Amino acid sequence: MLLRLLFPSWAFFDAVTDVPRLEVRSWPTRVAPDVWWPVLTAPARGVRHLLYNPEGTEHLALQALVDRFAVECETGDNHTVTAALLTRLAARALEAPDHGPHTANRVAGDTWSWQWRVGAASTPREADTVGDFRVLYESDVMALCPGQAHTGPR
Amino acid sequence: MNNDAVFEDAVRMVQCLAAVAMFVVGLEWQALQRRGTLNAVWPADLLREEWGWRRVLMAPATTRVIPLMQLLLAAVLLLAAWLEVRPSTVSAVAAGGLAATLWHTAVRVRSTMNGGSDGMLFVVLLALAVATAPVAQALRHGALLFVAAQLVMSYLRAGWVKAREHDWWTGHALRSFLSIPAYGVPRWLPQAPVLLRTASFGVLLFELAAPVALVSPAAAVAYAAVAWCFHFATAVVFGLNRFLLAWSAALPSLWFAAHLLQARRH
Repeated sequence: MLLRLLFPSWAFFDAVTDVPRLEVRSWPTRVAPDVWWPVLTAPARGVRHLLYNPEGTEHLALQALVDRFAVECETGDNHTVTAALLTRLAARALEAPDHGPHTANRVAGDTWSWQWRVGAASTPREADTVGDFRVLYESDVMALCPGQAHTGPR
Repeated sequence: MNNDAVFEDAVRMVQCLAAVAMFVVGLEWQALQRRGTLNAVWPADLLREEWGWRRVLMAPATTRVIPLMQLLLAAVLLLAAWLEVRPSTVSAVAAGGLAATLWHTAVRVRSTMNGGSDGMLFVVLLALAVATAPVAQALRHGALLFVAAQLVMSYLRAGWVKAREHDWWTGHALRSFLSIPAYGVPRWLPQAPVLLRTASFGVLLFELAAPVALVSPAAAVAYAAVAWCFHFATAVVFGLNRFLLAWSAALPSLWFAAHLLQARRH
């Protein structure tokens, strides 16, 4: 870590590569799985963020965690610890009161399942086009605690 | 101006700007801990094994106090620069302590918090610890030259890896980077192909021209001004505020390096 800090690679924004993305979905166990939605979205910025931007810094640190996991998946490195951290991150996203399209439809007493995945989204070369999404890792399906629809497993 | 006078002025500028940068780092680290992100996403119980002997330093109480240490040491660094005490053990200890806090954060979250900007700030602070210490003058000069060398290398390498990519010459690469959702690029930003090609060419030219800054002190000042505008633009477009702060702190070292090289030539 010391050497990485003292001699960074400085290879910023070189080649256009696929961008890793963390996605999550949750659904009532009795129905089919819901659509995936991205966990990390860039926070809005104003003038003060030119100097002080804690939300942006947090966002980049979390995205770096997703990037690291994608590299570990592609290189075959051990990704157990990073996967555990991403489980925490995805579970935390589920705690947000307005997460996902089906939050409003939750019925008390339903059992819920959830899952996260990391994929690589290609950056489109032309404006107004959509890139491809290649799944690198999909977690096991996990259960949300009954009656705690907004709380992911710890 | 003689070399020593230029050196002292450059160190003072680096010191003030590094203190401001670390003040922001401390405030941001405090905000991140207050939001609960650190313990929610990077829980100590999951990482303890990876830390090995460093686990003693990663105790929750230590991690909580790091932002406060950063604010305090940044204030000391700023005060010492203002009082113009040279050489100063206080400044050296403050700068070294601040560098240690950056290392601590990087170990705590298994990576840098903010990519290369943490690296540049670490380089600046470690060099400041030597440049302000009561040690041999040659060593103090060498420390600031190390910052200048890393600074030139940061532009040159970034420019070189871009220049090898065909997409950077056509504007496609810049357009792709602007479309990455993680950066939250403002929607108002014009992205006409001709504009992107021109901007890409400008970035390549600016980064590859970094060694020109060492030709003369005037060239260093001119290059630093362009560099500051470049980092300001990346802060606006990509939200990379810490890069603006870290590189601003490093830029005065160019002036000293150019001055020293010019003095050697004559």
